[in-house]
Amino acid sequence: MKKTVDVSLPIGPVHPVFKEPARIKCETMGEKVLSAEVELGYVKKGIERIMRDRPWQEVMFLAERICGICSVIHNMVFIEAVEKACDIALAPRAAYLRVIVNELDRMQSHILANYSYCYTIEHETLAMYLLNIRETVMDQLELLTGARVTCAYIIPGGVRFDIKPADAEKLKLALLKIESDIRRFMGMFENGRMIALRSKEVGILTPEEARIAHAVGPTARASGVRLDERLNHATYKLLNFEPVLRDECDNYARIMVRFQEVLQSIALIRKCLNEMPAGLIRSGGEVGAGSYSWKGEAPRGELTYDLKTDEYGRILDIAIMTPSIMNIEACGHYMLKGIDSAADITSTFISSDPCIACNER
Amino acid sequence: MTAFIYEKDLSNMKLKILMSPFHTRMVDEISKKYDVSPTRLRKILMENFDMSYLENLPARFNAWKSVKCEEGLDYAVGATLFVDYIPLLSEKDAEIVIEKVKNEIDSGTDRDAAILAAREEIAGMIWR
Repeated sequence: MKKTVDVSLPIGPVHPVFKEPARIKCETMGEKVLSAEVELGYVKKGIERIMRDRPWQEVMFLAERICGICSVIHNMVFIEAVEKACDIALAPRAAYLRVIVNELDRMQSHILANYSYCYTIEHETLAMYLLNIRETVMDQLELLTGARVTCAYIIPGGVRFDIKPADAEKLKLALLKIESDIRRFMGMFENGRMIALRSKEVGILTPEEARIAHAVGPTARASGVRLDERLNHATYKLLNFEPVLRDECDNYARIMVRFQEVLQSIALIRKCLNEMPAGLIRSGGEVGAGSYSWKGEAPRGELTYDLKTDEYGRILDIAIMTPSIMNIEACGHYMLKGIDSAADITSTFISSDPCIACNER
Repeated sequence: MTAFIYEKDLSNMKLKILMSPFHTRMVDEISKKYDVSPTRLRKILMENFDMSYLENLPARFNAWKSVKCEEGLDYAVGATLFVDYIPLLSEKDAEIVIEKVKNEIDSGTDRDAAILAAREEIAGMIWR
């Protein structure tokens, strides 16, 4: 009989299912994971240091480049922090446009995360379907902002471009197509027997563990923790936003929360398009001296910008806390621990939607 | 963890993580509260935690502050901070400290003095 041995199993930093470099070091007994840790630092940018002493106009573009997936929310939270630090009012119409672009960004990020998960559990058909529909979402982002990834759409006091009536109609039509496709793919995921075997009761993160590690975003909400910064955002309050919660606490729940949030984003965008007031998209104002700490809900969870500006609008000090920091830690120390199969290590890691670029800000 | 044959020294990267603005604030707050130098505190943290843990320490610290605020004595002493959130202390040791400080307050010792003594005891346990 084959002897069971304790094995130290390193995964990464280069691995086919990792979008970015990270190394998971697992201590296993047979295939059971006894403990794990995540080693980072392969692509450290030091962007907080680069941002310091630069004018806000430059930092705005740098902020977007922290993450190549959820760049809109970095733009949004940075600008909102600047607005609050310098008492710059926001044009009401622009507030709704910001939500539309932010929710489109969340949709493409969630779809990409679910694509990665399906690819990791080797359900490539669903993965490719999801990647295909993500392109439709990216097209809508491009339609509204003129760019797919680094849009630089949000500026102090407003946004760069208004939405034309014809573009609003195109967006509504695209949302219909995205909604019907996502419902179909969600059904495939919900009812897939092989998917259930690989996802249900795998990578458990209890609510207590989620609270201790301060897990955020869909990772926390899939463990039943009601944590969403959109609850504290003025425009989202007007839209009567309520977060999606599930209580299964496993990989399956995390993916399902993302699917449900894509549908929720579609509903929010429709509501914005219907309720958006007419008027200017920029209110004016000047960036001067001030300091503020502001949080926003990125696709992966709570994103914090803490900044201080001088009288000329230069960034004297800035600190950024990205959601992946909390989620990767929660994954490494709680979700991976106790997994019965080495094959589930990568899928569990991907289910927490780790963004190494954000983490290595 | 079992040693990896190609493991490199991560101290430099760990120190870089601990020098970020949020980490600096957390280290300053803890070092002031427990009267220990920031350098010593960073060294202890680097020795005990892996890189993802170190990255997440400010969030864990803030999570502890938000949860434990209402529980006056525990928040003041900070025993469970070092058990659950930044685990440098065993649960048993933390219970002993909390029990001791409660007994001291019950027996008429000044609350602030008892809390200060408890913090010193915790610091002694961690940094001994």
